Amino acid sequence: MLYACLCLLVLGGLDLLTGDGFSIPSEAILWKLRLPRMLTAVVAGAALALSGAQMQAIFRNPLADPHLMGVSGGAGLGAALAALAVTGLGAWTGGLTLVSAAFVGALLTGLVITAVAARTESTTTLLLVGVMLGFVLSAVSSILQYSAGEESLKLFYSWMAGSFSGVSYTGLAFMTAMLLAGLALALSQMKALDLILFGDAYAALSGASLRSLRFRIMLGCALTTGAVTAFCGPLGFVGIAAPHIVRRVTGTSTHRTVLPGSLVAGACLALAGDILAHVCSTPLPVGSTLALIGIPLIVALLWRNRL
Amino acid sequence: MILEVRQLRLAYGSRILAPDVSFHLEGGECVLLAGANGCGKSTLLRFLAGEGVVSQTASASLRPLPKAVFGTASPSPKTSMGPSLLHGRGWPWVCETTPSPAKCILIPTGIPKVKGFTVEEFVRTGCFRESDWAGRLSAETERRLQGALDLLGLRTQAGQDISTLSDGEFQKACIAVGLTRRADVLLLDEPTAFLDVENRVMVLRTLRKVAQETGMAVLFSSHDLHDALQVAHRVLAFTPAGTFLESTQKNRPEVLRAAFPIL
Repeated sequence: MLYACLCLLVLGGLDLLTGDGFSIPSEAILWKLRLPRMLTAVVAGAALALSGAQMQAIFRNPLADPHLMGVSGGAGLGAALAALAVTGLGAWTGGLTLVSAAFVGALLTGLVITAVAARTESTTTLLLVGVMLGFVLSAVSSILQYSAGEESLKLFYSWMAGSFSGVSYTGLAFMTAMLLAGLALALSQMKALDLILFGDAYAALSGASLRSLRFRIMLGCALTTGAVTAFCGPLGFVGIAAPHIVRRVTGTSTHRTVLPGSLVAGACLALAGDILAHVCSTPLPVGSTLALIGIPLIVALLWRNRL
Repeated sequence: MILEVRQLRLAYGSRILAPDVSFHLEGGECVLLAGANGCGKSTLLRFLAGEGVVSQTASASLRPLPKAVFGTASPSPKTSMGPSLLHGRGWPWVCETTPSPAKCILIPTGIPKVKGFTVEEFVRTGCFRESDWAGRLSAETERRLQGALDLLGLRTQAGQDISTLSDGEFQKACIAVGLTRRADVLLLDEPTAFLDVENRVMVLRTLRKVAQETGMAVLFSSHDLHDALQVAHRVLAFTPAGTFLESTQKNRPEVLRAAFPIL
């Protein structure tokens, strides 16, 4: 744990130093650009990893991630609608509208899935509804993009590519609040998350309420993932990879360890992605750098586990 | 007597599996529940474990007669039951779909051996009702856990990852959950399914030992009649016609022949 925190600090420090290649930032740049970017990466990475760990538990699927329940699809549709609507507005107002619309989209989708979670006993049904909903929503946003103008498309695509930059301190505070709410919900369900790994039947027989568990977990994940996706775009791989790394490194699957560990591992992954995105002279999309870091990690983990 | 069930009508959905299920269990007894597939063994076990209240499908499908009586009950004006039924400690209990007052804990079949849990952590996780929000057990429950591990011979494996246990040892860890949760009646659905001969015999002997040494009643379903009869004191059986038979220690063969005419 100490080691992980050290890793987090080093990566955080490195991240402050990156931007347009490696450079020592001036004071203004540090406070206005680098620090919020670094903190956004930490909060977003932690939030996605926390949601990912919970999703993998309730679906008992190592591939589950926060976007599985269509939240990114919903956020994408919101963003697409906003991008269409804000053509002609200034960049800043446009950006704000896009973020709000994306959050509303994510939250609405999250609510639909949460409502389904509260009504069904079956994990498979829930999984199917989530995935299908995601497909439908991205289909609709594709249709919107098809008929959108150049400016809207540019705005939309820059959101889609993902970035930790340009989030204000207010936005950061909002994301942090959502993360704390999600964390509280997750901690309250910690032992139920352990139990459900041994099957729905066993969990129910041992006294857990599956509906209430799924409802709370889904709600927490919708809030955290929704906020992160709205500000930073749909970022994959952190949610999948971080919990696996924690389980692999610590050798335990109990959520007493996996949940806090995922927070740290997710923040580290996001920082690494952000550093990679900013070491070149032109910033790269974080969505892509995360994939470049995350996929080899996942493959390496699977390789060492299975062979 | 730890548990008495009288005139329970066992149904799955609209299909009545057995119109009259009546039996009793004594403390320290190891009893085999036999019958063909789909005859109602699992449904009965789940009903006894109170699953009828928890699960949607079960609550709709398990319809006992109003006279289903469970329990360690004493005569009382509140019930219309004959006094012969009601002996022992505790309050009388007449119920329709509520679980019995004797604490019945069911170990279902096919619990996955999830990687990343030690035997102790697995047992603590199973004690969901008994632990605090962070999954910690009280000192007393923790003592019972350690006692259960000793009784079952899992002392050396206590800190071992459950994914490295043999299936038989894992079945013992599941039994440890029942012991730690202080079951009056331990119910096991097919505890020997998919086990090899050695593990099967080990698990079955463990069941008998647990019943005799803790004084709780053990009721388990199994298709391995030959091995199961070595350890079972008595037999409960569903016949193909839907009658439910309860054997004494003596007439086990007759009851089994009625349940499996091919024998």
